[in-house]
Amino acid sequence: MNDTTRPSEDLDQELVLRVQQGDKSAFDLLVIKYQHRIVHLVNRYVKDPYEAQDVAQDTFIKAYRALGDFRGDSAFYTWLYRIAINTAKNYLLSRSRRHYDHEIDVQDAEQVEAAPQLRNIETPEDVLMNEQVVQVIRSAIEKLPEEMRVAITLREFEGMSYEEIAEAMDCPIGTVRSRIFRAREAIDEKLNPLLG
Amino acid sequence: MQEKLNEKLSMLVDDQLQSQQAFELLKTLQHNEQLQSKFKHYHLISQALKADSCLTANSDFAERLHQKLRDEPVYLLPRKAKRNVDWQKTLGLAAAASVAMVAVLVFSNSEKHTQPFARDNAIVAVQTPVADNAKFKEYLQAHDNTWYADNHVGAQQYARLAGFQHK
Repeated sequence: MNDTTRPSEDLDQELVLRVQQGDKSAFDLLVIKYQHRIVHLVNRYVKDPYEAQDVAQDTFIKAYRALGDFRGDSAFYTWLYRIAINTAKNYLLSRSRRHYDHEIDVQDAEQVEAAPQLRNIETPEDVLMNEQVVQVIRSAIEKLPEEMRVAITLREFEGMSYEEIAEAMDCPIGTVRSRIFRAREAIDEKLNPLLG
Repeated sequence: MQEKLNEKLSMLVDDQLQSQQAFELLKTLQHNEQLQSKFKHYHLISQALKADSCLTANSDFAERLHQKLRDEPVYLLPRKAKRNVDWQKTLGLAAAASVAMVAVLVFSNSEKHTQPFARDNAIVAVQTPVADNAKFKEYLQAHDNTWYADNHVGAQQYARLAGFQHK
């Protein structure tokens, strides 16, 4: 599904330019915006919630250092995701080296990633908590009124923009915005007791 | 008010917020813990619907990173891309400059060797009128440091001559 409509992409460009011109605080805003996505992405590779935080930190540090050479040929988030994936793969490689105590070629990074005994370092409590969170969220979505459930499903599963959802559901874009927001609020209400 | 902010936050998660609004919201988010927690939960919901696992950044993630980046250098201007050097043009210019320099050196050296004192002599010749008067000439020969010979000013200025004539 088409997910190319990103009105806040202009903001990314503006913030990148500010950083390149010496405004360090602009980078803080990019971190706030992308921190959760990067941690989630890195964790899909690293499979360790604690290490994922550190690898995500390294990702942002690398991105900051390389930002002077960022020309904007691709979107900032695409560029950042690439750095995150490379950083996660390098982390896996160095971890496997420590584990086996011998050299592994860079080309073996994909195989290392696939080794389950290496990648899953979550504690049983982490796994249980994670499963509970996912269960609560999915159960909450089932109980949503239909128009909310359809709106959030089209957004999250199909990756449709608000405009596309409005067209599909034959309603104004403001209604789509409101339905998605209210769906999230309803799910968050169920989630709060679990997360505290 | 809070509900409006939360709705904008929901749009920010979906990248559907306009640039200026997103900028202002991120600035607010920076110092509002309640909003940060809501932002985190919205991301968690989004992740859980798409994948079997979910994980968001710790609450001190941005602050820890800010501390780590504190000692990093600040950018002043975007770095310029490296220019492609036109070697043919550069080499041509260098060769032309070398030829010109050699020509100047050769010319100045040959001038020095052929007439070492010509310029000095010309100045002296203009500034020093050669007197026709024989007496005056004698006087000059007796008192001047310059060597006169056949009405020409001597080439060796450093040669000191002294002459005494008695009638």
